[in-house]
Amino acid sequence: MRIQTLSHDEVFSTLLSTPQGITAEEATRRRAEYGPNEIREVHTRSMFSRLAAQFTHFLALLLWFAAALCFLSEYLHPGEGLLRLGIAILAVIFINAIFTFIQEYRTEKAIEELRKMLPFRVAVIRNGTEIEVDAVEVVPGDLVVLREGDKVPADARVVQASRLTVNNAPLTGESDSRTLSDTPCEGELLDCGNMVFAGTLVVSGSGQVVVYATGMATEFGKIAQITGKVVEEVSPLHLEITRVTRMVAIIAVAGGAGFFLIGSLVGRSFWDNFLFAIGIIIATVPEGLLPTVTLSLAMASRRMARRNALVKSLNAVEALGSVDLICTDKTGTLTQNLMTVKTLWSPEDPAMSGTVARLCNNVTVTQQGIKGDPTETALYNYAVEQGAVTGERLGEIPFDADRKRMATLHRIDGKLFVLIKGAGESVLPLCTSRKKAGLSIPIDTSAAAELKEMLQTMASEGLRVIALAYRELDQLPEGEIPEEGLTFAGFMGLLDPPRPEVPQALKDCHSAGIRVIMITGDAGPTAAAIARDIGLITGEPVIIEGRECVSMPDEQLREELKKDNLIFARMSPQNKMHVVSLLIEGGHRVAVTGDGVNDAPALKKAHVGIAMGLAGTSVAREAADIVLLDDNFASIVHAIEEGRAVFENIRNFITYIFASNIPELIPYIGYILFGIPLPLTIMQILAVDLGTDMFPALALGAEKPSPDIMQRPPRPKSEHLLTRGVLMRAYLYLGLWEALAGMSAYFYVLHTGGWSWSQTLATTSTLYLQATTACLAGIIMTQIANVFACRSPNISIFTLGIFSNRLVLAGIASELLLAAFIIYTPPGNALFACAPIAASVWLLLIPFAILLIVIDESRKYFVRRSAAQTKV
Amino acid sequence: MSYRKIFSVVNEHTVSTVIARYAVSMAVSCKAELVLYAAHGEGSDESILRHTERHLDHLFTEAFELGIHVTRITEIGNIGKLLPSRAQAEKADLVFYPLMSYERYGADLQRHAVHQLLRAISTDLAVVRAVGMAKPHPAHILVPLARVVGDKERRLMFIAGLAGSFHSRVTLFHLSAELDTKGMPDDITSFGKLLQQQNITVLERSGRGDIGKSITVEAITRHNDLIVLGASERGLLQRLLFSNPAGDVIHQPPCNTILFRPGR
Repeated sequence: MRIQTLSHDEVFSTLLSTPQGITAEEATRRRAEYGPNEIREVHTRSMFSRLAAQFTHFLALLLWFAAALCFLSEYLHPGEGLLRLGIAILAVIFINAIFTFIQEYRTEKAIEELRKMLPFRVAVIRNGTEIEVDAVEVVPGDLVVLREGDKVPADARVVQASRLTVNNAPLTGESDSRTLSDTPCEGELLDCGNMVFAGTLVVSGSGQVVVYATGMATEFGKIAQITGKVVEEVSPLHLEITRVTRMVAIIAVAGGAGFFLIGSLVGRSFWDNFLFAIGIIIATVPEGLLPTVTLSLAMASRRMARRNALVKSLNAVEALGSVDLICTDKTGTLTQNLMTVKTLWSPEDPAMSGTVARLCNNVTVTQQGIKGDPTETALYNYAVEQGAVTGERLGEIPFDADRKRMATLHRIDGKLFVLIKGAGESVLPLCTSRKKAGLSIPIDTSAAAELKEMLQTMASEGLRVIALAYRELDQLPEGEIPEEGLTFAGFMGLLDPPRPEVPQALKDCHSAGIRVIMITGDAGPTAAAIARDIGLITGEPVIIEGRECVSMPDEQLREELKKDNLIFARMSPQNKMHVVSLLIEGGHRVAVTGDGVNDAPALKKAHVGIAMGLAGTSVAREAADIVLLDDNFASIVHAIEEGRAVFENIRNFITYIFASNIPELIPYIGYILFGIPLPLTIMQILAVDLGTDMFPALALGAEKPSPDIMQRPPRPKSEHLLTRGVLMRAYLYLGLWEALAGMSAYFYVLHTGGWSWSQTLATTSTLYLQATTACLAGIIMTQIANVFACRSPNISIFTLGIFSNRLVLAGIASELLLAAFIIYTPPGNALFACAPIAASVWLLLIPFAILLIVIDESRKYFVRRSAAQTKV
Repeated sequence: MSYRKIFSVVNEHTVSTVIARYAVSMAVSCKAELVLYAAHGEGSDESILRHTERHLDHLFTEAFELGIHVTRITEIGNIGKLLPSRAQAEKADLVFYPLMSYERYGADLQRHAVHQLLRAISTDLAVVRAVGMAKPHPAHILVPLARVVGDKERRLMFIAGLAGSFHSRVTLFHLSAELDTKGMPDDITSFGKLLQQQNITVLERSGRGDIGKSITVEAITRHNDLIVLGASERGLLQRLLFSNPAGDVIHQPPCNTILFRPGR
């Protein structure tokens, strides 16, 4: 005994309801028992835990450790300025955490405003009276009245139906509407024609249904529940940042320990070595990395929002850039979800075809427009445009999914007509004649074959074909409307047109090395026709249907997934998630698009889930990482472009930030090994890492996508953010040059001040302060040149345009202003232990900066030439 | 071997009628006696008594018409104390208890009736959390099992009795990281064979990852109507450290869920 198999009386008995509904008191009791009829957010983290997570990821822990060392050092050996350093590091942790949290919170709030799925008000019968209640108040056992245009509030069993037709597309993805009845059904729940499901739409007719499941217990709620339980894949950027921070941690701690050991071996005191080791660690850890990664992602997400891709999770920005495969839905994503009549085949009787299309039709004409089944709406609109006549309806045999046709009896201009429309295979056998030169002639064998061939031809083009026929009567029929002896009028072919921008977007995907696979709930031939139309497939399609997918072993399906021109048709939500899982296991970086409830689990499973903002359901939007505000598939391509740029930009600013580590380390090495006065103090290091470096680094994060970014394949999974090449460029080339500049300026000031080797200098003496300031100025000056060099690893800045990134110029301006504050103002001098330096020092440093650019441009030239020769 | 006397606790909540229908069907299938049992705290509201009596009337009539030997018992007092002694006095084999949404199984610090019953009842105990009224006769039953199936005989009797009553298909579900190389554990395979000997259709399915989540996903994606879990054998400390999958599933079940505690 299942709900769909029960008789009318058994339904009421099982659900403890009556034909007069339940009482208000009973409704209250059941609401307390079953809870409100709403979809709850499943497994959302509290705001507190999300904020706390910003303080506990790996780099934050590293910075906590560095700060703790500073405070410990200050406690054990006060007066070295480590208290200020510790506080500054804490400030970095807090600012970054709060900034990241605010970014994510704001984007999530934007999405929450899109939530509007379950209906607000519902008509129910309680105490024998029809009343209106909020959908959230509906309980199991409630007798709900459904009318045309209503959204179904809960899962229910039909107990009374009058041409009640629903569209289950939000749940199943199938665009066909379904006429329901109250008769028992032995089939599976979702297949039975006596059930309605929460979130679906009443297309026409009316009926009464008894609710059996509400809220999370509905089919809609279950999909939301498994969406919440699907384990999300960790984004590639998250993995890379974790890897980078671990490598940095190893280098920092190894460096600190190494120099501690060296110091001990050369006989320095424990405390001096300890301070020195802390200095090495702090010099090596790129304190500015986190804020710049976060801001770069945030700026990219803002640019993507301007291109109509709303990012819900910052990690999705870069993840999209690494995608190499997009699984896309058809209806609503690649197509406009607007059924239209594409062609009418009616060589002799177009007027009558229009009449049948218009009158044998149950759409409702309202002030707001035409309401009804999408297919019928398309037929009606077409017929009205062609000027079809009207008439008086006298009778009807409603559409039936088994008969696959509908019949009406009309009086048109005083004459009686039976009008019939339906599937070709249902209507054609009833036709015995057709018009030719205004006369009615019998359909002989060859004519029948011709009609069948035309039907097949139109179907093979992916059209939904509706056959139209009629019969003139002399008098009103006594019994049923007669459906035989019809005159064939014509075929109408309907199609859901593709979005106009999709073909170009697919070409862009192809040139970017991104594969696109269609996964749809629609039929194979229809999907293949659309795919060919938009350029998704070029040769013979390989169509795999959902039921084949279920029975196919995973090994075989993996082989099928490698084929070109692949289309998945008649796919259920479970099939879709299964395919996405296999693709991810196969090493692909997968993006999934979708708009229906049925797409939600796959959207969550994929590396990047992309939901439609306009036509998408709230469940799909909540599951997705990115929401397309204009439902435009082409926006995905723009978003991918931005995402690819993010990875490149983050790598560029890592190069920039890491480069300044060497000029911070070399002074310490010199101090330890050669006994020179310490050329760079800890506060000056901080001035670089947290001060002058920050804004230019941020500007690198805002670099626009390079011109060829979409002409290259997606970056391989094995390609890392931090590579040997990046480290070598930063540490051994750019960094060494900066160290050379800094140390040159340092020794220049000492020499011109009369210092001689092994002479001790007081740390408060003007000469010492000026010398260290000169070293700092050397780093700053070469970092200005470095920011231009790091705008691209291989493309010349002259090709990019020196002034094309205005933020870089603003960053340099702020860097110079900060340097001026530190070097030439008393507060800056006091805070950073600096002293004003002469103009001659700057004149000495300018050639270093220029030469850095010259050398790097030469390197880029040889790299490009080598790459071009390799291609040839 | 099958049940001879089945208790079903009925209260003012409609879910208790869903659970009682499981008991009714098992009583028919096993040809057992059925006792519809209600216990009200002292000073209970008159509407509670009225609703409970209405449910009892409804179920009594239904059971009677099916030819079951059915009795109804109503007592006043703490159900946690009354039910165990009544079940023992009546020599019940199996007790169905409806778990309310506010009763959190596994939360030992709470003092709900279910915790008292778990400690005090010596018969087989089926704690049922019903989320819907639509599937009193489940077609597909999901049975998650650990590598070693404890209390095999009692478990077999219950699942076979349940599945036999509704002619349901049973899916034995196991989670393991080692499954790919070693196949389904022998204990589960032999349990499946015992069920098949009772003319029950059995499927074996496997999964990985978080236990509670995997059970929920499996139940929904494979359209199971009923889950039968074993009562957690983890101690308090284990549950605190390693969570309580049975508790997690039954707290937010995707479908009606039974927590089966074999009798002592």
